Amino acid sequence: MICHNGNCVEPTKPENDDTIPALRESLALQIGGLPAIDGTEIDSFWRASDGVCLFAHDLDGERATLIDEAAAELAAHITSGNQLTHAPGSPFRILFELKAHVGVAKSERHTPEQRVLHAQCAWRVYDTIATAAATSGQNVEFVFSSFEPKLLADVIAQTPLLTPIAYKFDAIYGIPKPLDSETRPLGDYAGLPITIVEIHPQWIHDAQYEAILSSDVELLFWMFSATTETFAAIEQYEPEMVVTSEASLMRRWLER
Amino acid sequence: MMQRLAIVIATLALPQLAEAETRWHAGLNLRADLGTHPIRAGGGIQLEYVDLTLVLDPMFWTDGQHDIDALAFWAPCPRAWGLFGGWRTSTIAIVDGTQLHQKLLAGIGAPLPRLGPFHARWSFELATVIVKHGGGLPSDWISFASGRDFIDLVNFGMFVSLDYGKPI
Repeated sequence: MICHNGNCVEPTKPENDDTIPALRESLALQIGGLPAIDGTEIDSFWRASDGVCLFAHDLDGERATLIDEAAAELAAHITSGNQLTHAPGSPFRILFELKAHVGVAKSERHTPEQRVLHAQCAWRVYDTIATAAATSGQNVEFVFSSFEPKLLADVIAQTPLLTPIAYKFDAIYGIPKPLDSETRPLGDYAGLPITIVEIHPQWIHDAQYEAILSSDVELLFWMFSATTETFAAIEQYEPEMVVTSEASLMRRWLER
Repeated sequence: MMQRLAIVIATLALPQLAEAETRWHAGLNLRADLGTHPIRAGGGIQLEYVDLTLVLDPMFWTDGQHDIDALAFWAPCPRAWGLFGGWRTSTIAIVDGTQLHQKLLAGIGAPLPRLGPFHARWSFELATVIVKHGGGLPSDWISFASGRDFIDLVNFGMFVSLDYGKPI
C-alpha cells in the first residue's frame, strides 16, 4: 500500500498533496505498531517559468518547495533505523512521478530540453534515496512513473553509471479523454521497459485489464478517495499495489 | 394538430392511469457494476404515482459490506419513464470497526416488459458520497474545492429491479 502524493492522512485534503508536513505525517502513520504504508508516491513538477524542479502536484496554488527537500525528508526517514514497511522484508517503494506538464495548464508540455532537465532532476532524487538506503542497509525500490512516455524515455537516456538500488518504470492511466487530457494509450509506451501500470479502478474496463494482464506487468490501482466501487474493484481485479490517500482506512480494510 | 396529439397522448395514458393502484411488491435488485453487491432484495409499496422501496443486502456475508437503499420513484403513470431519488448507506467492515458511506441517489427509471407475474424496471443512477464516517476515523465530507476532492465520490450505475406484487 502506497501513500498517494505523499499525503494519506485522513480526512483527505488534496490541497496538502505533495507538501512536506503532509509527507512527514504520512510517513509517521502507524497501524498496530507498524508503519501503515509500504511506500509513498511523490510528484515532481518541472516549472518552466523559472526552470526549477518542484515537489508539487500542480501550479494551482503557490508552490515553492524544491523536490530536493522531499528527497531529504525521505532520506531521513530511510536512515531513521525504523521499520519502513507494514509487511516486514518487503521493499519500501518510492513512486516518483514526473508530471507531464510544466505550467498551470496541462497543455503546457515539456520542450525536449526541459524533459532532459526533469529526467536529471529525477536521477538526483534517486541518488539521494539510494545513498540513504545504502548507508542504512534498508531495502528501498525506486519507481519512475509518468503519464508522459517521452519523459520516461529521457529518464532512461540519462541513466547514470551506478544504480545501487533497484528501479522500475511505471505507466499511469488516469481518467480517460475527453474528461482528462493526460491519459495515453499503453501503446505509446512501446519500447519502454514498463513493469508497472497504474490505473484508476473506477475507470478501468475489461479490455484494458486484459491488455495489462497480457503485458505481464504489475497492476497498481490509484485513487483519491476510496468508495465501495474501489473496494469492489480491488476484490475483482486483485492489483499488486494500491495508491491511496486514506492509509488508515485502506490498511484496515485490507486486513479485515 | 396539437388537439390530435393531446387526444393520442390521453388515449395512450388513460388505460395506464386506470392500472395505477396501491400494491405491495417485493423482489430482487440486480446490477453488473461495482456500486453495490450484484444481488440485493427489496420491497415496498406502489402508490398512485410514487413507488417507495427499501433494498437490503443479503450478500453482506461475502465481504462484510452492506448497502441499504431507500428509494422513491415517481412516474406519471405505471408504464412511463420516471425519476427517482434516495439514500444509500454502505456499511464497510474494517479492522476493529465499520465505516459508513452515506450516498445521495438520483436517477431515471423505465419499465421493462413484464415477465409473467413479475414487474421489471431498469434504472440509471448517480450515487454521490456525501460523507464517510465511523470506524474511529475522522468524518470526511464531500468538497468541491478541486476535482481531486470529489471525482471519486461521484459514480454512475445501472440496476434492474424484478418484483412480484399484489394490490392491497
